[in-house]
Amino acid sequence: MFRKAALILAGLFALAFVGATLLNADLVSRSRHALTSGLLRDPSTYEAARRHLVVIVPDTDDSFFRGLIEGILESAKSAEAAIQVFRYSGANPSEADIHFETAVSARVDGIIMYSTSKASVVRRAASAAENGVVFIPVGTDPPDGAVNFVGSGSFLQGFEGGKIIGSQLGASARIGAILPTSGEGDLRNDPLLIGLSSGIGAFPGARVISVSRSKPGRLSGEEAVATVIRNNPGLNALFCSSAYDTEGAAQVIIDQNLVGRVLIIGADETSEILRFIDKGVVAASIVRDSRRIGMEAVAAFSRLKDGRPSGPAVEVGFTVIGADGASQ
Amino acid sequence: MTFAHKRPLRSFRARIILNSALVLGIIAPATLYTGLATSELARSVGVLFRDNLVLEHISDALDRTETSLAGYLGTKSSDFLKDYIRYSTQLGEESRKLNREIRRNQPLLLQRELAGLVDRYLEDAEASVTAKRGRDVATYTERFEHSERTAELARLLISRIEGLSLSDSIVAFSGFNSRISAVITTNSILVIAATLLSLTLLVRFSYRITDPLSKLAAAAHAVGRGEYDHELPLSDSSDEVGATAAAFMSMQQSIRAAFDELKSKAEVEKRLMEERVIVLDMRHRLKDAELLALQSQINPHFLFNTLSAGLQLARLEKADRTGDFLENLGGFIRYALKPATRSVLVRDEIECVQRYIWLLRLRFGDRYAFDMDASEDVLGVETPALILQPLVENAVAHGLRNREEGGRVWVRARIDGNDAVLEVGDDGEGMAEADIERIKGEALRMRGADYEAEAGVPPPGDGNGAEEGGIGLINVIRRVDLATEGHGRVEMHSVVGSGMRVRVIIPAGGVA
Repeated sequence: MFRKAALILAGLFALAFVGATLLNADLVSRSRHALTSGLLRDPSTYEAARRHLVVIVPDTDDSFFRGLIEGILESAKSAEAAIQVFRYSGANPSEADIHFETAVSARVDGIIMYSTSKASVVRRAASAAENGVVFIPVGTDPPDGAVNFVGSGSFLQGFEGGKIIGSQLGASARIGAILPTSGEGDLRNDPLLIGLSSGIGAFPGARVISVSRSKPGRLSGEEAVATVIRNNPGLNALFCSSAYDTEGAAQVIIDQNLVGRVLIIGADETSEILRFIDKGVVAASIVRDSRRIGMEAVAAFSRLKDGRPSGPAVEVGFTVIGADGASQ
Repeated sequence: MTFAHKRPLRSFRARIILNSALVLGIIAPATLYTGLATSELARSVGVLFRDNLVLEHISDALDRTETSLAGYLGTKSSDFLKDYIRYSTQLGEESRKLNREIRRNQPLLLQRELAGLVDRYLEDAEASVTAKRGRDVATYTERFEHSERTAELARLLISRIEGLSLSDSIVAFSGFNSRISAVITTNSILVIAATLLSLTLLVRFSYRITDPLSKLAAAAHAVGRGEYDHELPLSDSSDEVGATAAAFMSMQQSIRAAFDELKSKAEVEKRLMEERVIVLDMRHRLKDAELLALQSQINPHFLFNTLSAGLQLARLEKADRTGDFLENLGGFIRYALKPATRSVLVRDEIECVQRYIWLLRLRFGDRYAFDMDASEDVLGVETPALILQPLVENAVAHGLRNREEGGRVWVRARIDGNDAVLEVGDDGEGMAEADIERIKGEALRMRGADYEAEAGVPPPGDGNGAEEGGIGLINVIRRVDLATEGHGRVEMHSVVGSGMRVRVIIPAGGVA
């Protein structure tokens, strides 16, 4: 009896021991992996690169910037570059200058920086050149005289949006435009608005009746749209320049039961926007190819580091996604 | 020891070693795992502290360099310059501990940037010192401002690196800690379970060790009390206790054998002692017999002389029959009183029997008929003395005594081959076969007492054949056996109611 009980006990214990040992091994292994893949990892085990490339972008998960980073990272391998990403708060653009200055003072090989201000682009380009650092500004509209710029022109984006609105609403179009946070200067001179106005030019009577600029933050677009609709009862179309603004506009239209009465032309491509397009809340979205912008920016960096001459600004086109699919 | 080689795992030593190894094998991995994990944690903290320490040193050296540089540029004091040189050198050395290679890792790239900033700072600081020495105010002012700005950026970057490192560490350590907590919990349970199992095994082994030992001790106590036959429970285990039990049983058997041997020796000694007592007794009896013999040697002379005087008196008085009586009686007594162990001729035996018969006829008249027939060739054969007379006496006293009509007794002597055959028969009551066998058995038993005869001691009952049935016959048988050294024999044939015949067969070559 005793012997049998002892054997059963030993058997159960053996099972528990094997199980606990495996669990131990797994836990310790995962713990060690967590540490050795991070803090304890030998620096020499990280992949080496030939060039140190700093990317400075706003700290946002806007699909434009996600695509931009993805494009840069994708091309970094072929450019033999290690990418260091600095993000700055949209509410504190001076952080961008600190990152830029740090990178330049540290004499990294290159900087790809989201730039909207013409003045700052010129100044930074000069500073980078002075320190032997390749500077590639990326964004929407190339500043005058800027070289090595890679982006998609706001004018064309606005023009495309105007054409779509005009084609759907014709002369009755009463448009509210939500301009991007990153823009600066007089709203009337914003290339996006100019493009939009040009786009509806073919439809006499159609007008932009409200122009506002969204503030940094995910909900700012929603707030701006709500204000535009409240202040402009006759508004029947909304033109948004970013994914956040588009999602915010759609949300407001749904909330205020204006679906079908207010046409939304959005920007960029997110799963939410695609869902809104599917449901007919958003008529179309003009998608800037930020991924390609990133890839072109890395290509420009490599070209300059290899000693080849500077090139003209690179314009990346748009894709329009509507209920019937995408079109260039 | 042999069993230990054949089945090593069954021995207690192997079991104890196995048990200990099992416990250690359980606890050691648990401790090892925990130790390994703790070691990794300590190493991680060490790495974290090391990196942070480098950053701290850089920050400290940067501050001191900046202060001494500002002091030198403001006062041109050699002390500040010395401090500047010392701290800037220290700053350069510390910055060389930072990563300077381009690796696809954010913290390493940040370190590289910091190294670049420190280099840049040192360049500007050095340039400003050089310009100060050259009294180039504009240049040293400009480079100093640059260095100040660079130092500020470096500090910002240090803060950023520390923050990033802390953030990464918190993530890594929190995951690590949660897993280590699970490991510690698991191992604690494991250790408790191992302890319980070990205790169970220890209790079991203790029981298995002590139980047979207790039985062995009880058996040893029993043997100590003299119970050499105490049975030790059979142990089929091949461990040390089994071997000890087997050795104990072997020892028990040896003791038992030795004890039996001692007992046997004691019995032999006892028997020897008894025999010695018997011998002493016999010696006493021998002396008594010798005394008696001396007495009897005196009396026969007196008796014979008296009988001779009586014989002469009877002759003188012409009393012939009385004279014959005294002559036959004297002759018979003379023959009978001579030593019984002597050898005589058959002729003498016949003569003795004739005298005895003459005396019997005188007593019983014609009631009994006696017939004697002896061949001539047998008369010269040697025979033990007094063989025939007791047989005749037995025939008359036992065979014919109760027969009112009387009876017949015959004596025959002849040669048969190499033997002389002396036969006494009667037609009396005979003897039962059981009595014949008893007499034979008694004679056989007494054969072992031959030393008595050799020692000159008369056999028991000798001369008293009429006292008890068969004594005379036994005496005859024994003396024939002794005299012929076993070559002679006495045969008895009887039919109850019809008579008995006793035949003495002795070698014709004579007795010893």
